[in-house]
Amino acid sequence: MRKAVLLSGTLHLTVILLLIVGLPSFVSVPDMAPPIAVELAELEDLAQKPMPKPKPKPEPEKKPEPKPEPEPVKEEAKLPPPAPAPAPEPEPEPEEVAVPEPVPDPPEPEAKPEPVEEAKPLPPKPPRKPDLKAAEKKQEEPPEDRLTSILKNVERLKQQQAAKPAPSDEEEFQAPRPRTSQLEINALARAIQQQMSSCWRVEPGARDAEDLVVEVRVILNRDGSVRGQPLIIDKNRMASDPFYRSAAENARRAILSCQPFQLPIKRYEVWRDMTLKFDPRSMFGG
Amino acid sequence: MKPNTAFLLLVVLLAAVGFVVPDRPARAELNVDITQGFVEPLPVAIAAFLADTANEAKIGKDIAGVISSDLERTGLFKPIDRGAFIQDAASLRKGPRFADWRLINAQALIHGSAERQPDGRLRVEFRLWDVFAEQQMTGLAYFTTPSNWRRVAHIIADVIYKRLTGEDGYFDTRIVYVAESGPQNRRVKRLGIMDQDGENHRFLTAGDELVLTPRFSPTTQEITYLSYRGDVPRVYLFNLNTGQQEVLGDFPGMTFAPRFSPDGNKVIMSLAEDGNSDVYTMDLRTRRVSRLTNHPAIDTSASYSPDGRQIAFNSDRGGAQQLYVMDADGGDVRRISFNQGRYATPVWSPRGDLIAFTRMANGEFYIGVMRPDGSGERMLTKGFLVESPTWAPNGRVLSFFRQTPADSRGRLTSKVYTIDLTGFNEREVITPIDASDPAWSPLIP
Repeated sequence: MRKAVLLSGTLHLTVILLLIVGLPSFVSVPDMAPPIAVELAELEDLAQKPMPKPKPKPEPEKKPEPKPEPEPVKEEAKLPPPAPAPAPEPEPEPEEVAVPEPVPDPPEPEAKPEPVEEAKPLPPKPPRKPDLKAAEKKQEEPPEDRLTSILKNVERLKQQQAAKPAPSDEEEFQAPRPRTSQLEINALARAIQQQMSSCWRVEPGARDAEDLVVEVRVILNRDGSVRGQPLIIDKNRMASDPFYRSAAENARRAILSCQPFQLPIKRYEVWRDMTLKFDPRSMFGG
Repeated sequence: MKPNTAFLLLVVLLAAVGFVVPDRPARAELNVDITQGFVEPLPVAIAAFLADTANEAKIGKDIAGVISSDLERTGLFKPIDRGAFIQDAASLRKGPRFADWRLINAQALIHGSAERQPDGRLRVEFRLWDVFAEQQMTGLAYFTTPSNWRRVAHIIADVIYKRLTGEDGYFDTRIVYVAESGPQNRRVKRLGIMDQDGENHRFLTAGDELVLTPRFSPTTQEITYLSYRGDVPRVYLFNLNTGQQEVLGDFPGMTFAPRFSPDGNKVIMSLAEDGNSDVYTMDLRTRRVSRLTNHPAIDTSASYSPDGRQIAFNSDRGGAQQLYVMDADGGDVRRISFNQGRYATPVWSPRGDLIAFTRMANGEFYIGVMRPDGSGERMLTKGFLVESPTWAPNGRVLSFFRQTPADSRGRLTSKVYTIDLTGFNEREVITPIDASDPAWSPLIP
């Protein structure tokens, strides 16, 4: 009896260990394409790129300069010339005001209204239906050009372009799994960055705004919609720092309003579960 | 080893493996850096506050209007036109239909109610919703007299502002300033006070004597201002609640009007003797004057840091009028501005992270900010004459005045403006006549 148990246990252990370590492979795993074929691979990669969004996305002028890699699909982004400052409001007619009594009336003691207990939150909402994409955002030209610099400095009269987006190879190098090359991961990251850039609202006047880096974990469904709620990683800072909470909520809103993400379904396993790091530092570059 | 022990060991091993294995992630995660976004006002929907009777309905509409104006004036929010709302006000009572609000791209929704209570008081309740996350962000109710509805609206706007931006609010505040009229050589100056949005305006003095540089106490509802009766600069303390004035003192050598210390117990000013101007403080309780700088250069225009431990001032001890910072006891004086031009009127932000100032260079005036160590200097606005920056109590918005050159008949205009510390969203504050020398109050207690 014991022998049987021992044998069974050993076999179980072996199976479990094999599951962890993996079967030894006697078939060579296809390598990454040799250098010459890289360009071909890239074109193929682009051909697999998702269709541009069905609805006309906010005009490309808003987008920053494209990265150095050849991208025949995207058009060159151009920044508009800085819009002229709005005309100051017309000054009101200086009228003669009758001289009022020199001593002001004793103002009625306006007691500060006392706040009462928090109004109770309404009963839980009905389950969310799959979202229709929000109506086209009305992105009219802002009266002040906030692209040349998000912190204004009138003396330098800068015409600089907005800070260029960070190069795409900032994302972590994942252990190369068969059939998902680093190129494809880069392309996925670029697609996500591109889509987020028109959804992510930044607040540059916040205290120490450059340091408000927010990491958010998102799980996506196959159709690119968000499953559940995006998860802010740094919960402690959310609770203790109101500026961080505001930046984190901006990031969360950006993700929720950007869905459904347009990403290649073939790579769903790669982009199903991702962590987005919202870092505004380079926007303060000026 | 005995078979029993071996058996037990195996079981333990199996169990241990069972616990260890699940820690490994089943698949690799994708990490992406998002470094590019945009800067635009946040679209918000503010529905009229509901009420059961016509009187309260008007108040509800006005409250929503004031909240909407306050938020819009910050330049950070864009209230959506009520005509575009899909969900009607009545059904809002039962809760927002978030899809309706997402359709018009409202990122936040504000609604509430204004109801008269049996005892005659007004109960105002509001809720702030995150439309995309479908969560209530905050909800509060206030009781007050119906005539106080405007203050309630400002207080609610402050709560919303703070919840959405993390900044303390500044809508429940006032601005005191010098109201001016007349030609350049015969200006009549009066003290005026108004809500930060220009409403509830009234004059505080008659105009028969020259008044200058009003300042708000950070702790009491009092202002100081300078008056030149008989050509002697005299500082008055004016209580806004009682209307009473008292003379703080005659200061024959005063070169710059007093500012309060953050705890409200002292004022800091500069006095001149034999052509040399130095910084002094006066304790308001004991009226004792102490000297802080003792230098042959002209030291003037001092301002406390919000923690009361440092003082910014300007001095020409380096040869040109530049900005300096020193400890509150006068020690460790260090220069923080180094660019060309003349620097004046430094004011330390209540948030502590910036100092605003006036600068004259290239034949123009500028209002600028820099960090207390002198770095990050930026000019926010410029003009023929822009001067006298003052911070809102949250350290996010500045007010200053702008004056045009006088024409051949000596006529000029002078107006008070507000601007965000990012340099954007410059707006005029509408006053009945010309205005200069603004000073921003703390939040009204």
